Order: sequence, then C-alpha cells, then structure tokens
Amino acid sequence: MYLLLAFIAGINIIISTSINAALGKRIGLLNNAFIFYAIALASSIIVFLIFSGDEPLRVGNIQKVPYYVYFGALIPIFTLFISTYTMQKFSVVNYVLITYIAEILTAVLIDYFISKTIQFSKIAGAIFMIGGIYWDNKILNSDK
Amino acid sequence: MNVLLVILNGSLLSIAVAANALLIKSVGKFSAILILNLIGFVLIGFYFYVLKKNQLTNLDGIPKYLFLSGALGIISTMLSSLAALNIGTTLAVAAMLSTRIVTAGVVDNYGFFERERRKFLPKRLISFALMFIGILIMVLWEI
Repeated sequence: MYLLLAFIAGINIIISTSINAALGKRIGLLNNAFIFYAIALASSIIVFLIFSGDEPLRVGNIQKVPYYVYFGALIPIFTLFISTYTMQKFSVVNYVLITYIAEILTAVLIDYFISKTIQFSKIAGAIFMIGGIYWDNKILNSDK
Repeated sequence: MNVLLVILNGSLLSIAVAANALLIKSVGKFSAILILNLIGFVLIGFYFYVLKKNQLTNLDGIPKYLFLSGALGIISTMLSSLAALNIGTTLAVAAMLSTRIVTAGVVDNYGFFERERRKFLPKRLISFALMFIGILIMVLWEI
C-alpha cells in the first residue's frame, strides 16, 4: 500500500515538472513562477490546516532558529526557474536522471563534509545511471 | 551550458534539503512547507509587481490543468513523506525514482504535456536496464 504511494509520488513529480515546463513555455518564466507560488501557497495553506495539528508551530513549541535559516527559501525559487527553463531543452528521461545524479552526488558530498562518511553505494549507483544516460543518448542520436 | 544548469538544479535541490532541515525540525514539516511557499510567493510577487512593474499575462485559452504544478508538488511531498515513514526512505526513494524514469519514458514516447516526441526504441531497454541497476545498487547496498 505505502509502496504504491511512493510509485504514485514518482509519477506525480514527472507530471508536475512537465506541466510546469509547458506553462513556462507559454507564458514565460516569471509569470509561471508567480502562478506556481500562488497555487503552491494556497495548497500548502490547506495541507497545513488539515495535517499540521501536532506540529511545533501549531502547538506553540517552536525551537528558535537563526534568521539565516529562512534564506533556505531562496533555493527552491532558483530551482523553479532553472527547472522550468532547462526542462524545455532536454528529454524528460535525461532531465530526470541528470538532476537526480547531481542531487545524489551533492548529498554524498554534504554527508562527507558533515559526518566524514562516504556513501559508496550512491556513488556506484550513480556511475551506472550515468552509463545509462550516456548509452541512451547515443541510441537517440544515432536514430536521428 | 544547459547540462550545467540541470546539474546545478540537482545540486541545489540537495542543498535545499540540508538547508531546510533545521526549519522543518523547528516548526514541523507542513508548517515549513507553508513558510517556504509564503516566502517564495511574497518575494516573487514583490519582484514581479513592484520591481518589474509587471501585470499577469492573459491566461485565456490555456488548459486549466497546466496551472496545477504547484499543487501536485505539495501532493508529491505528502505522498513521499508518508511512504518513507512507513516503508523506509531507501525503498521509498528507489520506488519513486523507478516510476520517475518509467513515467519520463512514457511522456517522451507519447509527447504528453506539449513535449517533443522521443520514441521508445527497443534498443533503449539496455540503457534503461543500466539506470535500474544503478537504483538496485543503491537499495541493496543499504538493506
């Protein structure tokens, strides 16, 4: 059952990024970003009201965080612009895999700098994925 | 150049997870999502209306489902959190990545969502197999 939810989440992510890129192509990156955040804010208000019942913010038990933590909100803004733009330039398979490999290898680096551990499984898996992308593009290019 | 931008995008997504972990710990996951989207909306709105003096473009004739990306993103976050809580992060991530690759192949093959068609040739099964071996290595190594 929960495995099914993970599968649906995977499908959902692709649909979400694909329609975001399609809208960005029609109305431009800035208009798209504004609409994206308007809908995302409205959705997150609904989700917050329904599901956040026992969260620290709702029960008034917030741990103080430094103000710069809120600068973390800038990163998704950049990724929204970059993904809307770049997804128009690549096949969805290429876009998904290259993004994921960069994501996973950055996570390996972050883990290394924070806890001094290296996750070899992720590096080995990423090497196979890079091989897969390389081979896939070779096939697609030779077919043109 | 575009490849570098996609790589930067992936790296930033990972950095965002690390950067926002403290906020999630402090206020809770759904509260953090609300705060992040609120900050994003205010900043984009300020840039859009005040600094750039833009007006929202005419949206007539655009299929309504194209506006749903922001909502689907939230649903994905909820589903993935729920799955990870119950079956473990490694398995949940592997399952999501598997369907991401398959769905991406389907969208490319049929040209859904106004995308250029890239047919799924049987030869591509080899490259997809390599991608799935990559996922399996990540999962089996950690179990």
